[in-house]
Amino acid sequence: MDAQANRLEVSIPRLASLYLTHSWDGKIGGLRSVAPADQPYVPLVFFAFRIMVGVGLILLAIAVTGAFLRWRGRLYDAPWFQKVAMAATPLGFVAVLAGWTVTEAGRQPFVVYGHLRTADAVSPISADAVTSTLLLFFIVYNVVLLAFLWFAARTVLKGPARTGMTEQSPKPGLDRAAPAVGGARPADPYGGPLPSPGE
Amino acid sequence: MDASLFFAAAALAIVIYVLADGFDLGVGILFPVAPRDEHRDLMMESIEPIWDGNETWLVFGGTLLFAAFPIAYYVLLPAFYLPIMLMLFALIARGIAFAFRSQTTRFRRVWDAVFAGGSLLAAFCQGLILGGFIQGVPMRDGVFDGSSFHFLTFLGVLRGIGLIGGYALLGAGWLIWRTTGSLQTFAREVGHSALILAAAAMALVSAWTALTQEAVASRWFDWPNIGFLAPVPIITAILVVAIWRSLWQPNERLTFLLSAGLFLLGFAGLVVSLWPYIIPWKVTIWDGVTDAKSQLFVGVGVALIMPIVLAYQAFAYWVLRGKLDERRGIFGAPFETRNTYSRGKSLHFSCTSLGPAL
Repeated sequence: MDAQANRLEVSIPRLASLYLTHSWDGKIGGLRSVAPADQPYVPLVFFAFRIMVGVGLILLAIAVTGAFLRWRGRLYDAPWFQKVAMAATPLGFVAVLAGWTVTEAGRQPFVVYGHLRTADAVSPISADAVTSTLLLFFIVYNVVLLAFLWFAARTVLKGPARTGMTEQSPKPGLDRAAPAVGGARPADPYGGPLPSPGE
Repeated sequence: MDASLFFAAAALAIVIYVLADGFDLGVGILFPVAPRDEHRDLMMESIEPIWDGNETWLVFGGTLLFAAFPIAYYVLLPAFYLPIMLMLFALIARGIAFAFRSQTTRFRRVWDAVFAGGSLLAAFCQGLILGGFIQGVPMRDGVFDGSSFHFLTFLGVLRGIGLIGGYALLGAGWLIWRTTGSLQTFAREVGHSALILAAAAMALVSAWTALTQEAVASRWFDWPNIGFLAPVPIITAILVVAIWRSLWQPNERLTFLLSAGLFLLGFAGLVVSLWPYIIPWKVTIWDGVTDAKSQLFVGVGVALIMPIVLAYQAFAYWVLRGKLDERRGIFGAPFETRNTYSRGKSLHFSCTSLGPAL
């Protein structure tokens, strides 16, 4: 970090110029054009940004693969792909958190870039008060998360209610081979009949 | 644009919040003293479609303070950081209870306690904030200068208890208006205790403020103000008697409307005591209002948004008008799935039961 150098890079010339300044020959001030006192903690931003973009590329690859399989009519016959898609579920959260880290850590040491430094923006609330509420937030959100997982797991384990849908299509989701909608029972958005009053 | 316009908008948001969230917090406060689980189901059901809409006004008030009176925002929020955060946690816990209580049988008691405790704590914290606000906030160089526990005052505790009583009274008025049978009878009975608590706290708070705050006392008792303001406590006393007598009357809206009137009088008294300060005795609304450009921006936003929010909330209340059991009649059986007789329904069926109501 002190050397202010990136030892390993793959670069596409002019691309950054195009999307940051909207011109082919725009000048982008790199990190070295910012005074060291105004620089964020670079490794954090560096890796968070790459995690975000990396996850984005993985998700894009999965989406393209899925579209390709769908086009070839093999989407529902590729368990390996379905497992990959399941495994990729948390990646979106990872990308969001990494992206947030990039903006928040990357803007340091400012809260309003170039105008208001974080050190000058601190409010006169004691650190103890903030710590205690942060701890409370942590506890409350985790309790809610656990409660959500509990109820969601119970609902998922119970499985979907029986409907007429299964007779039309043996496979979950849309299917190219399924008969046209005409004449078929319209899909119930809740997947089941309303409970009768006595139920 | 004059600062008093923004003050009026903020005051309106606060009044609507106190009345609207007041009665649903009040229903939560009455929750543990209701006789049966069936009553608790109905009580929660009576406010379920509207409680979060009511809390819109808390957000609206806070945002308006931030945009129109930034100094009040950055002085008062640090000054009342702990009670405000505690209130938010109470409201969060309460909101979670709305979602989870109907999903469980075994943990029902837990969510009952969370719902009632959240309502009670939120009301009490609002009283603490109000009490601390009136006693004044220490400032130096334009920012708050005091400890995290400076908010804790005797007046605040008294106001917290008063708000609990007042909200419970509003809640009882709401239940008398919107329910029938044994639940309504319970609301009529418990309304008496709530009124005694609210009225006693109101009298104590007024006396205590007049005795300890010279600025407030001179505002009320100096000539010629006393001539204009003397009717206020008299009308308040008459209103308290009227509410007491309304509790067993056949006109079922009367208690709620009169209780709302009591809150309006209390708020008017507050404005009389503090006008024109946005931070008591230190910053007036004209000193505290934001600069002209922001005023224009905020003014246009408020003028556009406020009527829209008012209109759709009025529409929501109109859709959900009438007695709870009539509403069940309109929307048919699905609401049945939400009461005790069919406990432990899955998430799935609850969604379907909410569908028609929306």
